Amino acid sequence: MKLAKRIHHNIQFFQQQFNNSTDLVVRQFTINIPGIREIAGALIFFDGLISNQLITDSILDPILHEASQFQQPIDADILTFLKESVLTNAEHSETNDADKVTLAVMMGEVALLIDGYNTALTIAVQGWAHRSIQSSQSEGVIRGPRDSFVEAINPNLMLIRRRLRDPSLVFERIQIGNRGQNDVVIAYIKDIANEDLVLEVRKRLKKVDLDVILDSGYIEQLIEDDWWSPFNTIQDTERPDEVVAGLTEGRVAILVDNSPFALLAPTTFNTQMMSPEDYYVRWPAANFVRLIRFIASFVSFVTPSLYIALISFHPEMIPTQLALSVAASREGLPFPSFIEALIMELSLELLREAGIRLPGPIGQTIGIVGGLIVGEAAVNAGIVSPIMVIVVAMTAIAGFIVPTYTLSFGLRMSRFFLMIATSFFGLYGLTLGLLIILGHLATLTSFGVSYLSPWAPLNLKDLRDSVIRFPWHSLKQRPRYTLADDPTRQSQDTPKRGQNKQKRGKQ
Amino acid sequence: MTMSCNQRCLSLVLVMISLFAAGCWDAKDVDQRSFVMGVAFDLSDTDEKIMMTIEIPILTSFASQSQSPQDAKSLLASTTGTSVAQMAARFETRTWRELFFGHTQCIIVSEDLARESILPIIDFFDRNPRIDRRLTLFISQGKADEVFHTQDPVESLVSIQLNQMLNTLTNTTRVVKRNFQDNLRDLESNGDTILPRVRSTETEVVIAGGALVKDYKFIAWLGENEARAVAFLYNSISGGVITVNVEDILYTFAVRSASTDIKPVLKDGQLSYKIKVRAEGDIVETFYRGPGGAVKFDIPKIQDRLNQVITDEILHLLTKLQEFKADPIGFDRLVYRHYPKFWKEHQENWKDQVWPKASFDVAANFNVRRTGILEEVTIYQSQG
Repeated sequence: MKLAKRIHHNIQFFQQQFNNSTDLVVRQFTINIPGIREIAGALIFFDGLISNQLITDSILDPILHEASQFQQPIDADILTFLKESVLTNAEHSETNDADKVTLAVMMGEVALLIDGYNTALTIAVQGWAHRSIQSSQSEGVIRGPRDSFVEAINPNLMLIRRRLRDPSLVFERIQIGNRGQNDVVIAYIKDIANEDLVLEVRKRLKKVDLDVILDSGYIEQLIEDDWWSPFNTIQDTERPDEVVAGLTEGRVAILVDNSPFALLAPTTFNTQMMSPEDYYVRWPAANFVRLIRFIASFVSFVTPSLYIALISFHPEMIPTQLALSVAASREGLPFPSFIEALIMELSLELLREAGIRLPGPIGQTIGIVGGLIVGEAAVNAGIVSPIMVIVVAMTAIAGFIVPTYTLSFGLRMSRFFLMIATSFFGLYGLTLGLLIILGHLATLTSFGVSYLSPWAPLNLKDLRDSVIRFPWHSLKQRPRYTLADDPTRQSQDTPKRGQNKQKRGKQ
Repeated sequence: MTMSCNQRCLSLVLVMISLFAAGCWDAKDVDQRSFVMGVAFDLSDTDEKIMMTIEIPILTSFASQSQSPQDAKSLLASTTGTSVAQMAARFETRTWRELFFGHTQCIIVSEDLARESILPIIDFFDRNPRIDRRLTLFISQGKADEVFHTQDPVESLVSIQLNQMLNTLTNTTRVVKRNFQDNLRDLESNGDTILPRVRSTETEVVIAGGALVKDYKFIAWLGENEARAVAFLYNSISGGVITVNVEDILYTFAVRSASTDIKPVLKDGQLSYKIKVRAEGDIVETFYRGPGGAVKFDIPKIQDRLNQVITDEILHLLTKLQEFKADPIGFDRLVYRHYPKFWKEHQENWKDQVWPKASFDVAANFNVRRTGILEEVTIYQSQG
């Protein structure tokens, strides 16, 4: 659809195009250049998407005042003159495609129409309210940067660009969503990220066919490798430092307008078990925390099942004194251990979910207090045993240590699967269940990368940054799983131990 | 290999059916089981030969909330029968909970029952896969069920107490320290073993000495003093003190580590065993009762004396075993390993003919490492 020459046709067209929506503003004016003639012009934009100040300062004011004071008669066309000499804003483009203009207006640009021209200038004067940058809610750290992404995409890109002053950092912006036309940005470092990976991301994004992309979660679910699995194969993060770290490892980030969560691909189980803080604190501390994290994740994963197995199937495996006190504490309980565990684990999930819905700081308090009171009361009422409360508390505390919220969902759900398997076959069932889950994880891929990398397939080099993190001095290579084009990230030799020490005192 | 949706669903249904049809068959919560902590077997006056007494903890007294130590901690129940499994089943008429032997700490067989045979009793426990084989099999001097009637105000259950006592022994070798697993190994090899002895009075229970079992039958007691030689021969010394008299001073030697090496030697058809004992330890006490004056430790002499004492004890025990024609230590296995041909020839009459005629060459090598912070002893005594 091309624009017409006469301005009133065009105005009429756009009013129809936008169905006379009340927030559509058509500002008509007359350019009066002495010695030429009076020319009708119009600005078309949506109220609220633009900055009134910017429109006044950079469009209306120059056109209406400065252009009319221009003395020399000009025979060049007025649009080029306006573009080149009058308008003071930084970014604009010219087009005769009505659809492009429509899209630009919807994205908050201003369309400048001049009578007699079948082209329009779209001028970027966007200005809308968005949340200011705050610290991360779901991925907090003690040591490290606190800022996190916001809903608007431009500040998010700024947060990345500010950390990575590399001309190779590329942002590719596309619009996805048949009706939403939402901005989606693919970010990667051109000479690090594997080309095939970028192509694949682009290809999958092109296939997305939805009305509107409200959050990056939509994209995540539509482009992931295995959408049947309870485990996510694309990582989401609201931390710009995490994204930048991923980019330098050769991963590709996908940012979605109106979503504070960026996506990172490829993703493995391993990458989701790390917190950015692991890289900021010194390596012994980082390793200590990481070991605890891996162990605790496993503990929270199997403890309820282990409880069922030991209580119902293999009491001979509990130390004698403990067996006696466990048996004593279960005396007179109405439910078998599986039901007991199910009740408590479900009420834990209940409290957790309720804690999210409850307003602000009360949420946590009520969650914890509620948990204690419910647990205590349940024990006193003889519904569950005190040991079970300990088991649930362990599960809960250890469960929160998984640094990625999305991954912890997968683990939480599999925990119930394990409990069911155990309730049928005891420890044997627990082992079978673990094997089934492990087998499933082994079949998963994320953009072609094995989910269990670097353990399966074994990649010795990448093990340097898995359950343990080697000191930075020995992490000279980028991880292998991303098949990065430029594998080296530190080319300097490792300083010998003590070399950095400076001798002081007598010369 | 991709499955169609139908195949997926079908396989899922099959898995679910097999789960629900077969699952849970051996699930039984702890509170539905009776933990049998100890079992005692006696000869019964009735026709049914054996009386079985079980000690079951009263669980409520083990709950953390209960603060009443005066309450009875355990319940004793007895029944008679001809086999262990039969008697265990008969308890079902007295308790709805399933008897659970997974935490059984000790099995006590009375001496008169053991004289007939312990085989029918241990077979039941030997077959049960849930048994904790670190439990102890005792022979009781006197009636076995009376052991459970002793009341130690400190301890909770007699069975746990007995097993703990035996397993934590470090400073004495006056009792044979063998657990069920050790005994089974001996018995499966040649039917002979040495079991720890237990005896009880109304107020206390004592483990001391051992019971010699030959061909699954109890035949003789071994005294407290013989238990030390047993420990050396089983190579299970974990401590203990030996007191020797050197020139009227009593030196008490505490064994820190000891090992015994037994080697069979076959020469001209004559079987002998070389037994080497190596031990290390400290002098922890000297007890002086001679005239005054400074006495310096004569370490070599003390060591010689220690060697002599232990050699004598071991020889004494070996002679006794030979007299009984019993081989609980497993000297036959050594021959089987070193001289398989000789073993094949004499396998049949080993215990009766060959074993009693074997000779021994016992060499002990004791090493006094430390004497405490006192290097010499000076006793001041007025000469009046």
